[in-house]
Parts: sequence; structure tokens; C-alpha cells
Amino acid sequence: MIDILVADNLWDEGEAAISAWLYADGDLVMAGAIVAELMIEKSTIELIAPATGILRILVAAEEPVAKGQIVARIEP
Amino acid sequence: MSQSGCDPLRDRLIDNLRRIGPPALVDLADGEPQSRVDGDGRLLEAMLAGELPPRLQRIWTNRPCIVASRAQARLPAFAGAAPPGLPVAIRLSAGSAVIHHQGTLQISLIESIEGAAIEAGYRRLVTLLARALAPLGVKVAEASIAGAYCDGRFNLCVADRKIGGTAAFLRTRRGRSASLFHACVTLAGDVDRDVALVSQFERALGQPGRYNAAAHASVRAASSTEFEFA
Repeated sequence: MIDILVADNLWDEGEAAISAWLYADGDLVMAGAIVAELMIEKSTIELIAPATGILRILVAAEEPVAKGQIVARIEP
Repeated sequence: MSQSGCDPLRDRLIDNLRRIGPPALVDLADGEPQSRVDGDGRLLEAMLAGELPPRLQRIWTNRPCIVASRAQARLPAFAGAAPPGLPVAIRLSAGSAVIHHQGTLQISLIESIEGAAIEAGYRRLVTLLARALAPLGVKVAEASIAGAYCDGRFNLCVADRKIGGTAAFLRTRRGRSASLFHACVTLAGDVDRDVALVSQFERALGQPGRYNAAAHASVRAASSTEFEFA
């Protein structure tokens, strides 16, 4: 399992949330694919699949996320 | 030399930005609103491909249009939400709807980054704009303004009224990251009408869309009441 996590150096203050998952839980995703959009302070940050495999979503869209949080995993 | 030959305020701001900012692409061409908005993304991709210097600004204009976020574009009512006669373009950054027209000027700061905090990027953009507006007699602060559309901590404000908004987008490709921090500054025009159109669009999307025209001002209006141009 390979984690997809929120970088811990992106922002200082305020809340972040997954604004949308671009794939469904259980979908096959390719390494380098944009799998989700993270929203922080009127900023969009794309989350990239670090490997090819099955996406397992751990945090639903619209849910708040913290710095360093694992939001999904890839099953090889 | 004048950039447009028709708007001294805009021309002077552009001149100031070119003088104090990073290498500038002054892009005043006419074009379809979505294509004009997409110009930011094309530059971001070119930067990620290593085809551009690591920091540049795009100074650009657009036809009258609403510019919505991708989150708004995903709402079920999006297709029918445009006010009559006003096209809607979709941007990469987050936030809510704004309006472009001949009285707005857009400034996009596109940078190659290495994990920089979002706040630092916003501050680089706000500082650049504040320095460019200061010689025009416009003293800008950054603040959230209650009742303003597309509100955020890094609004450009004069006398507690929003004259410009900012938003951002970060992309990573093959280990390289680049950021887009962009601003839309209202230099002139009817801000009451702007607020009414943005409110109408967002209500049609099913969002509250309740904004206060008194929270907004154009640079020209703010300067005529409180400042004089040099």
C-alpha cells in the first residue's frame, strides 16, 4: 500500500478540505494521474497518484484534512 | 509608451508592474474568455516543462465574463446559471465567482516552487501589486472584507473596500512543481453591477449569492475620494 498524503508545508493557517475526488474508490489509477483536488485558502492543489494501482479513498470530499494526513492509499 | 492607448490608469499600472516585477508577459489581446483564462494554465505547463524562466508575471485583459471555480462548475445548475449575455469561464484556482470586463486587469504570478507555503505566494503577489499601485497614490492593504464576493484573507483593499481578489493553483508534474497566484483588480467600472451579476450567477447555481456592493470599490473610485494620482 502506498499512501497519498497532504504535504505538511503547504499552508500555515486556515482549514483545508478535499474539494473533489476525480476517481471513485476502487478505481484503477495510473502513476502520475491527478486523483483529487485539495482546497486551501482559495487555492487548488492537485493530488497525484504516486503509483499505479487501486485507489482506496480514506477521506470523503468536503471533509476537512490536516497537514500530513493520509487521505487515500494505492493498492499495487 | 502606452499599452492600450485608451486607459492611462491601466497603462501606468502595467508600466509599474513591468518595472518592479519579474519578467512580464503583457497580454492585452482579444479572445474568447475561456481561452484567455486558460492562458494561465498554458504558462504553468510551459514552466513545468522547463521552457520558461522560473518566475514570471502575466498581465492580461479579458472580455466581459463571469469566471467561476471548478467546484462551482461541478454544481448541477452550472450549465444554466450564466446571466443573459454574459459567458462563463472556468478557472483553475479555488474560491467563488468573479467578473472580468474592460475595467479589470488580471495579474498572474507563475513560479517554479519547491514546497513553498501558500501564504508566502499570496504575499509575493499582494506585495507586488501594492508596490505597483503606490506610485499612483493608492495605498493597498490585504484583508478579508465581509460581504465581498470571492472573499479571502488576501484581498486587495482600499479603505476597507475590496478592489481586487486573489486565488491560487499548484500543480506537480514528474517531480517539478509550479504555482499560479493570480489577482483580478477592478480599476474602473460599475461595481454595483458587478456585485449584482456575481450574486445572480451564484443564486442560479443554488448558492447564497448575497453580497454587498458597499464592500467593493474600483481603484478609480477609491482614488477619487481618498487619493490623487501622482
